[in-house]
Amino acid sequence: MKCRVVYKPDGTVAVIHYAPKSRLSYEDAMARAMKQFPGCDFDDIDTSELPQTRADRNAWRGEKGVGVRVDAGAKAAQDAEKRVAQKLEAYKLRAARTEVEASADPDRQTILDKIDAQLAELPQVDRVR
Amino acid sequence: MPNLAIGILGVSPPPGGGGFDPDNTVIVAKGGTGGVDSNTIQGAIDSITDASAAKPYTVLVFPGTYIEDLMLQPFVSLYGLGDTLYPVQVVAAAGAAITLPNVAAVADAGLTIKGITFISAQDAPMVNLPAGMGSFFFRNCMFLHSVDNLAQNLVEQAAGELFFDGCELLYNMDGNTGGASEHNVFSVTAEADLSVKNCRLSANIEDPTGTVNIIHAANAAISISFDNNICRSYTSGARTCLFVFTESTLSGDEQKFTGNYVELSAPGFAGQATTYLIDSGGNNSEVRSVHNVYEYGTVAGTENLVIVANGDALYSRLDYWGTNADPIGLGTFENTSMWDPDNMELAGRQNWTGVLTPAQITANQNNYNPTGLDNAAIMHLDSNGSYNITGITAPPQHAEGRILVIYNTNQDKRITLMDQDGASLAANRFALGGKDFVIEAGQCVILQYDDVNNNWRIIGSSHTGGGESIIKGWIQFSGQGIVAIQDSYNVSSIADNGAGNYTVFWDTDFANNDYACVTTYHDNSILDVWTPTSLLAAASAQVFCWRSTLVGYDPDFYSVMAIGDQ
Repeated sequence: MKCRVVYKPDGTVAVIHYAPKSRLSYEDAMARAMKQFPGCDFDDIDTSELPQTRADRNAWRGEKGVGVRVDAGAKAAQDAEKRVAQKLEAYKLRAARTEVEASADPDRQTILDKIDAQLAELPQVDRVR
Repeated sequence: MPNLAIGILGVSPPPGGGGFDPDNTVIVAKGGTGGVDSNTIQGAIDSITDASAAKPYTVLVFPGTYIEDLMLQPFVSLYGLGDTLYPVQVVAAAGAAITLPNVAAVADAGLTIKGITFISAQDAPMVNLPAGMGSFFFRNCMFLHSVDNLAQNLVEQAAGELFFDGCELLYNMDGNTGGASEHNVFSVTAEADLSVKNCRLSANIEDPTGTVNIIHAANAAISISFDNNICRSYTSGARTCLFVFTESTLSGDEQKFTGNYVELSAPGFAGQATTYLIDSGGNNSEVRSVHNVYEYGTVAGTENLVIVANGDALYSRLDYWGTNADPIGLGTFENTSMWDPDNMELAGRQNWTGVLTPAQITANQNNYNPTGLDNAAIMHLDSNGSYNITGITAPPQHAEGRILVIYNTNQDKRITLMDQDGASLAANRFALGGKDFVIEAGQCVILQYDDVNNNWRIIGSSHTGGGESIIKGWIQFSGQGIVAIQDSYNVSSIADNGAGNYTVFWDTDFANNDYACVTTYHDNSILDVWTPTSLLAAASAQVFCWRSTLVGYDPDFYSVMAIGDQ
């Protein structure tokens, strides 16, 4: 299915997908959306030409005539950002665990079990303990 | 009286009979003596002295004009031997053209009159049956009654049985100082039977002082059979032109009207036209009307389809009623006619034509009245912008209950029907319950003119028309893998701005950014997700999906809905 890739000045991309039930034509619908991206270059491509996973969506970069790619530098920055977010989450959980351990809450153990389960899901949790 | 003239004059016997009995046949001719029994019709009738059921007579009349009033006698029939070129004409001399005899018993069956043209300018009926129980047949006769100041009727029947078959009855009158309350082609005043078939009747009454009726049955015991006739009645004065006025209390089996064409015209000041007036003293009259055509010509005053008094009834089957006037009265009007404008039943395909495509609208419209609107059923409207219509001119003559379909043929611009907007005349405005109605691009609306409140009202539409309580746009799309729109309404596209960051673009803009937009997600694996909506604009809504860590996240599905003014 055709979509429009818009190349923003900062190198990131927006992908405009046409709504099949629109009463507007593809071109008219794109024209409406392009008002949000004044002066930007764009390509109309098939969606199969896009990266097939959105895991690194924020690392998508592109330029007219070249298409969309996952940028390594942007991906590294994105991964670093993810790590920081996970550490932040781990710190929050650890702080909460300490507070619960010190409390006399009758449900203390149940709460601790849940915190531990969430910590276990964080891949970086051991490093931040 | 013996007669030898049949053989001498080469007269043919009447069809269907066994031939004339020379002994019982009398010949009438204006001149000559050879084989002629009389030079006058009345003279021939009077010469017969022994007519009876067992010995009926026939008077054969040769072409010519006979000026005399005829007093007939039982069992003596009249046959005109003329044709259209040489007719047999009887001109009334001073009174009724024909007075039929009083016979005492039904068995004393009367006589037949055939092939004679009767002409009268006398202030008297042309055919008079005052009493008795006889049966009298008129076949292929013509009655021309043309007179001023007439206070009489063309046929007066107070008894017996009258049959008219294939006759033409023309009743012309100009002015009336006689004070008659009505003028009838057939006036039946006592118990009697009247049968009229295959005839042409015309009443052309100028300036009458009373009602003009084709038939007035002014007695409770009158039977009428009226089939396959053509009737036209016209009156120029401020009076009622009426087809049938019956006071009979008989049932529909004895008051039958089948296969007739009836046209009534009353173009004079306040002239009225009524097809049936049924008003019996016994309150049980029934009239049966089957497969007739009832048309109105020009009527200056009131057109009444029928007037049925309390307790009486008219049963109409497969008639054509060429008027949209309502029946009045407290009686029964049971109408199952296929082409009755008041109760139309259409079994097959229905096509609404009459499409009007006015010039493109380029500004707001007040009292909108494009050329051809009066005859349009459907309007195809186009505009070069989104404009308002504050009213549509309602032609007074055709406004009552009128249906008008409006298509907005433009694929981008909206047309708004304004509720009770004072920019148009009151009678042209829309009554929309306090809310304007937006005809979206490519959509349509059905209006009907409410002639009680004198406003256009919406009775149907292809869409919601901008109601504030209606969802104006929605979409569900996947947030994993390749973005895919599952379904949507009023959405032209979505822009994928990044993880958990999308912009929904509307087909039709909202009026401003003061609308409500709700975003939610579907994802069973993640619970700490929230979907704040922000950056609302008239043309779009940017929506987000975040984890609790404020990192953009793409769930399995997004759902977005928006409500507000457009």
